[in-house]
Amino acid sequence: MSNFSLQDWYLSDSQIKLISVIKHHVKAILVTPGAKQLNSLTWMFENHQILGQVSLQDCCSALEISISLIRIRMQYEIYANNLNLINLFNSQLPEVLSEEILVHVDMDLNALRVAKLIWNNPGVNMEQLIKLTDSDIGLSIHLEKLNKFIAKQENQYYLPGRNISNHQNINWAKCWSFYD
Amino acid sequence: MLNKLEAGNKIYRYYNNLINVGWFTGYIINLSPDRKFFYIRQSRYASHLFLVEMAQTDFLPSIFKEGSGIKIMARLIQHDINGMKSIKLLPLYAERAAKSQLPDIDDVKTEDQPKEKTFNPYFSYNLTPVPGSAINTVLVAGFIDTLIHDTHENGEVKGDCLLMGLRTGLNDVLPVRIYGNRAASEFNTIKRIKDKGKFQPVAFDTQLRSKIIKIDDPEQGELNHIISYVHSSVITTMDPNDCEEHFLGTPDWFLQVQKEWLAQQTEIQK
Repeated sequence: MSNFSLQDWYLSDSQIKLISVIKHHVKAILVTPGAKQLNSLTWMFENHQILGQVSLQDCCSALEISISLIRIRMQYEIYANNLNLINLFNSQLPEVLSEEILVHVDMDLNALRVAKLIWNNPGVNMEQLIKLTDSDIGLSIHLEKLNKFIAKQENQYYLPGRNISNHQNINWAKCWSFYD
Repeated sequence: MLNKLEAGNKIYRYYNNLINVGWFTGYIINLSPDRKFFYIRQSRYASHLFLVEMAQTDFLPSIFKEGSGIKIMARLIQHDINGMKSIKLLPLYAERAAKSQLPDIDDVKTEDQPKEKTFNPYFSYNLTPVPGSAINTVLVAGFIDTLIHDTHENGEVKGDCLLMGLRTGLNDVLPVRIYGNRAASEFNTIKRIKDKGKFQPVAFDTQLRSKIIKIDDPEQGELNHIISYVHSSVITTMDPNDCEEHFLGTPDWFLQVQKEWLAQQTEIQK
């Protein structure tokens, strides 16, 4: 990102400011564990509107990008940085992702529930997953069904939405069909 | 199966109170010994190969043999292959096809070759058969159940192919593929309406196609499956002023499907 300036992309000053807001929160999630990270995770994944603070939804509508794209990409960055963020936030799966998962697992709601758990607890391992689901019945079957969407790193599960282990060189925006 | 008189009655074109019928001609291949299953073959490619399954109390009349031409009027039924949705045909009426309705394929193998001793006007008087082309017509109406973009193997979205699940009954969801450059804009049009197009009534007057899908099986290696689907270039949503022809009566099963879906939605939101 450092090789070219944002002005080259014909963005207005306010848009550049909004990008820096998003960047700030991404950095907080990836670099600084603690209260700052928790705050940024809530900002990134939950839809709360805090008075006097610009929300992710505001940023996305001003920048004309899909909020789901940012969130799904954030999950990928969490996976790439091998973070472990259990029980820190609680959000819904983006609709593009949940619809695709439902079609892929043949409308199996239990598999979707497992996907949502991994989404809300990136870096969760098998034992924690069993605890969170209260049972391990069919868990491995669900994980196998979700294979296309899950990434695994040293026994930790992530949900970047695409299994990128074999394909490092893909255009992330081209992977999704948004309709917000 | 119906007789010729009954087959002309339009009431038999409806299934679950929605229109659901297709007419197909082709050659019979892979006829099972119990005369219950066979494939209809319309060209030398797998894209024109459709699975036909007779009803439980039916079997294929003995006038049809491996390789003989057939014309069927059939219902489109959901068929699951290894967790993927496909379509199988349930014949309502079968008859011999005219030569003009049959495709010209060079390598059709009939069960017994034409015997030289019996009279055959084409061979005896050196006549030329008329050229023909296969009939492949599908009339099917239903409600949109799911609609997503197809994806490449590396996860990127295919801009020119949509996958639709077409709800035609309580337990029937038929696969529909929408191909063409307009697919992306069709997708956006549907997704912008209320409920993202869920249960939008649509009716297709189009063709049936098949494709080979390769699946890596951990035990048996790579497996090829023939998946049939309704092929269209447009999502033909129904005109509210002109949809009587698609319905025979109220589809009573629909309310239950909708109720289940709403319950599912509240479950997901939890």
